[in-house]
Amino acid sequence: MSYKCSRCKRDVELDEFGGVRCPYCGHRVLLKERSPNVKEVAVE
Amino acid sequence: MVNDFQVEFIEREDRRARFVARGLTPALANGIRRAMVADVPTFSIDTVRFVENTSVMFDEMIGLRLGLVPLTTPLDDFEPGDTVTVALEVDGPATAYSGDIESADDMVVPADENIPIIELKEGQRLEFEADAVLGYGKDHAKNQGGVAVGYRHLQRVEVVGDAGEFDEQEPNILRGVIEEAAAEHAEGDAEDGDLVATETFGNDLTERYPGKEVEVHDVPEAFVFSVETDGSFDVDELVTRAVASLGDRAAELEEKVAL
Amino acid sequence: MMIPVRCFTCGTVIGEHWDEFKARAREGDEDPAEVLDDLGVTRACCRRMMVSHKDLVDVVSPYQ
Repeated sequence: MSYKCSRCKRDVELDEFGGVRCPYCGHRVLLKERSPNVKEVAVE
Repeated sequence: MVNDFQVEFIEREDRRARFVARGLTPALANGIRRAMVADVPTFSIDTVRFVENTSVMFDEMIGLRLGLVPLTTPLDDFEPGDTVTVALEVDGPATAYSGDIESADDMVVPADENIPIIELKEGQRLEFEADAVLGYGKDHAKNQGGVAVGYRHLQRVEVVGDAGEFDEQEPNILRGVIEEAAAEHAEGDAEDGDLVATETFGNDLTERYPGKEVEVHDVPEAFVFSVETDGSFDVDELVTRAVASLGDRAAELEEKVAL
Repeated sequence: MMIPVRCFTCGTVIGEHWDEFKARAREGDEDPAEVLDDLGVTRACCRRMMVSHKDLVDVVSPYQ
């Protein structure tokens, strides 16, 4: 899963063993990035 | 039953008109009104494919705003269900306007160019591609070509006597269009049979017939339509298409019930 | 957040006039009623859309 650290703004890869923590700066707040895929929305 | 209808315009612009139609039953008048709202198709954005949206609004919110942007609709060249692709690409800091939407077909473009879609700040970006579909107002309100379409009776104002000499005259408010029936008592130049919009005398009958007692009656089989379009096409197109669709339905019904 | 594209009640496109209304009546010192008359926004339902609107993009944008 790809996230972005909210403090150092670096891309972070998380696995199930490492816990929720930025490996570069140790910050525990991570942001989930928008998927690069094109999103289709129906106007209703 | 074949009736001739008489149509007389009171106000006629590209996007708004007011006219008196005579010889209609109330059912037919309402049928025309409903056809103008529901049965004249217009283009509107239906599916949006967001490539990038880093604005403060969600994709769905922007999609809804896009759906409401009126697109010009040349009805002679398209069939209901036809699709036109449009796209937009704006980098912040800037505001994305409806006029920034680029269309694959020059005939189908935003009718108004200054509608703000979303304000983008530094580093924000909006890019999408969308399909505009020619659809009916009865399926979705965004496809309604007629806006604030309505009708009311044509009214006839008759002078029945003088107001009491020492009576304080209270305003007698009437809105719509009147057919002049007491020209000799009216202020200014007037002839019997003139169609007068009530705005011209402040919607107040005491302004037009000072010191007179008046009675207001509906004129039978005469309706004052007030029609506005959202810019997809002009009023003439809307009304003629609506009437044609009503005619088509009547013909279809006649054919289906024929023995 | 942003001015609605159309009037909620009657469906007239009002977003078109927002920039001018904002420049003349909100930021300028003209009478809002006169500006709306000038822009052709005549019905009460459309007028309240303009008069009661508040742009919120500046308020929420720091929290992106």
